[in-house]
Amino acid sequence: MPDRERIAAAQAALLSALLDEGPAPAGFDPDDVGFAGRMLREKRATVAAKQDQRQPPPAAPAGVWGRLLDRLRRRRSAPR
Amino acid sequence: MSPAPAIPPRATGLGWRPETALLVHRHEGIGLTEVVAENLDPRRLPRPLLDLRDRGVPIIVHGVGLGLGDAGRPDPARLDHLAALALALGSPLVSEHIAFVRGGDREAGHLLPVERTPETLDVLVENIELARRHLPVPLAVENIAALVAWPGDTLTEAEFLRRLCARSEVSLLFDAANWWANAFNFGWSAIDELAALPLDRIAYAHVAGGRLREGYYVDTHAHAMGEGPRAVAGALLGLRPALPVLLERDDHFDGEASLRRELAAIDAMRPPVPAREELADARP
Repeated sequence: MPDRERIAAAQAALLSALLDEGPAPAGFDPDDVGFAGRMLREKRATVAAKQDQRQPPPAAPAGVWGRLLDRLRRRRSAPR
Repeated sequence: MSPAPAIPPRATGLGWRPETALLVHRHEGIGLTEVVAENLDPRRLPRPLLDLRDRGVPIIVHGVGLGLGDAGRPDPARLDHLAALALALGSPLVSEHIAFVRGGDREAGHLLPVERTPETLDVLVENIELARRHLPVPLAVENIAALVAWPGDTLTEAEFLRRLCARSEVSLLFDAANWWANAFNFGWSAIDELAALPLDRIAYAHVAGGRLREGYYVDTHAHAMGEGPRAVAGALLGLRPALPVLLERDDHFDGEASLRRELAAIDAMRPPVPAREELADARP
């Protein structure tokens, strides 16, 4: 069984460093982490600005996608 | 509902965005397109997309938020969303990335590289198999561009993809620009390493533009294709001449003419179709 908790901690530490909320995790090239972090933060800012100009992404209450999915599957399997 | 159209061999496509919709609609050479799943609601699809579907243009659903490389398992609601889109658009494929997109309780807002180790591969394979079981159409997974490398990486990108394909029936979406970016940023040969890939598992390819910034190659999807991604795409098409290829552009839409030039450049990279006589001559 893979150790998902270890991987989760390592990914969270890298993300925290990229968001400038923590140090670069041990062994990472600090220059790479610094540059990648700036690019990530620029990207997040750009996406946020675009979101403000566009309609919000689809947000559906729990279960809506499942109901739609059932309907689409029934349509596809219906005799024509 | 009609069966999903297959992607025709030698198809060249362009990513569908509101800014490219008109060109995708009227460019006679478009053989496929791709939509970003997170930007669409399957209950309210734009009319131009439905027109493309009804014309039989293959529309691939491309997700960016599933996090197949996350330590956690894929969110069933996100999978339902991808599945509903694939059914509504009659898609031949859903594609996603080999990336992690959230850590702890935080969303990255971008695609981040997974550590290339056998242990991470175990998680990735489990997540991909969960996704494949949930989706009504085949799944293809894409290599991403990275600016940071894990110190614990023990496998090359090609070896990681080869092992993934050995353990899962998933297809690959090979991004030539991402491959070039990583080769440039981490100092390996983009062309030589192609030979180590499971080329027969690639369902289609992406190309895009980027730029150099502070000594790094950044995959921007906002610039014309440079020499590096072109070289990778050209070498790939030398090995797989009929592979469908899709151009991605997410920003700096500087007019139809420049995108048409990029599409023509992709077509020009393909080796010519051998004449019937040549094929006959080549038979043993």
